[in-house]
Amino acid sequence: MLELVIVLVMALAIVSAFLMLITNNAVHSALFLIVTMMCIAFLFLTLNAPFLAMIQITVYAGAIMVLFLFVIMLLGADKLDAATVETPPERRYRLFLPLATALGFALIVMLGAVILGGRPLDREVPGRTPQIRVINAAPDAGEFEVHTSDGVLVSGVPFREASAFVDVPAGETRLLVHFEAIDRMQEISVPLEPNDAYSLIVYGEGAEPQITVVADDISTIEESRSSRVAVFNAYGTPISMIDPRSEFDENDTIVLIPELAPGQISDTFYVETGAIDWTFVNATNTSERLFRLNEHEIGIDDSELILFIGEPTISGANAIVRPSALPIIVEARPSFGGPRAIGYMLFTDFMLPFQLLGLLLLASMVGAIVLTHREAERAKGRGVGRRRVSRPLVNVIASQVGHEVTTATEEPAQLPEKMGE
Amino acid sequence: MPVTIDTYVIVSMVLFSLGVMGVMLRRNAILVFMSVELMLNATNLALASFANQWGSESGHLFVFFIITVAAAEVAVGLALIVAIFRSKKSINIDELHQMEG
Repeated sequence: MLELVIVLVMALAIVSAFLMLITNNAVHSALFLIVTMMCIAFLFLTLNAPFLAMIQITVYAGAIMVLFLFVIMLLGADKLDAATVETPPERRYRLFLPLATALGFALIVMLGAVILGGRPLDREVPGRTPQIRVINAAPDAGEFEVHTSDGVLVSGVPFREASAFVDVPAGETRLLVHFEAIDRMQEISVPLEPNDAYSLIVYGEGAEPQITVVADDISTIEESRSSRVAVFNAYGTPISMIDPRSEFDENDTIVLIPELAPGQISDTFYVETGAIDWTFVNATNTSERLFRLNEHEIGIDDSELILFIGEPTISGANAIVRPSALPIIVEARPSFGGPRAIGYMLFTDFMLPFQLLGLLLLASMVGAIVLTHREAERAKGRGVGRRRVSRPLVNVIASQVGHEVTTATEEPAQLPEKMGE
Repeated sequence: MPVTIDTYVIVSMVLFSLGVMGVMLRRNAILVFMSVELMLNATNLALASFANQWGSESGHLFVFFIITVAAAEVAVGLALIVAIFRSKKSINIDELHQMEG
């Protein structure tokens, strides 16, 4: 169905571009060009470029074509190519009646579709390169390097930190973690799929750190303005997570995760933005509270991975391991082709071209003013120089007659010279 | 009929060729200008379809820049046409031949 509509719109674009070429009336040409531009805006929508579609309609079909039509009408250039046959207005407009009715009906249908919950076109978003980051949640592991078959991927991630996302080619990938301090190698094989973001988590206390890879979807989701949280247990014992809604009533709690074994990741929670007060408790003895996220702020469109880790408070022989939560926050990736994605690229990779474009627009503004202003200035200068005395009189005559009085201007201009002789 | 990137590129090619035809065949300077706009639009369509194919937004940025450059070009071009019309009382490009050698 959508494919048929796309083909029809493509045909309409080509036909109206052709009509733009062959019609004699410049105004009709401009209107046909607007139809072609609207069709191209629709094609942009089907190409996962909603921002470009809006720009196409507002800037191209709107602003630029208004300028064209304005100049066409200003110069009276609409019938310069050939004289069109004048038909009485009543007959001309009667032909437009069915077209106007159909267009009005189409507008009502579209407005209804929008009001009754329109959805964007359901097109497949192109696959993005998978990304991977490394999170260090192992207090005793020391320095480590992560290798792929192509070389070192990430190295030197400190404890309680996460590396930035690194692009990796899709497919089955072997990741090798080399712990330099304790001279230990560990290997894991993961099938990396496009569009997914992965976290390689190094966790576990003592001299035997564990590694695991969890998939993480950080792309923007349908429910906009919401954030998501997942919990990973990097602690020694199974934990459970509750939401203590009341400070005073022990029983007024919601169990969010009944039991999370070590090395497991929970389901993703979709939460409202704001503060959360989730509490981690021992899974076997739920009255034993391990850690509480105190008024932890969740931002708009954030994708958050909370690692529950054991953090040693005193280094040395008599280390006390204290349970702690480590939130790793990453802003969700903007949807492909949307305004946020375009804006992000404009302000990062394309900042210099954007600035140069601003200069170009300034130059073109100055150019447009200079080109249209010079003529008027010269006419004014000539009037002051030669016809100073008679100019008001000529103006009055010209305004009375309705056009420039050429013969009348010559004689009064010569009059002062004769008087001087 | 499956719509692939080929379809978009063919449509873009056809629109571009129509624009070239307009630039070469029409006499009215404003219509020549509009044909140039059609060619830019055809290029934009091709760029957007390539961006979609590769999953990279750089193509979208180029379309954005082309639209902006087109706006600048229209501002200067229409100012030129107005200036020419003031001096020549015509915008037929066949009558503008004072620059021939």
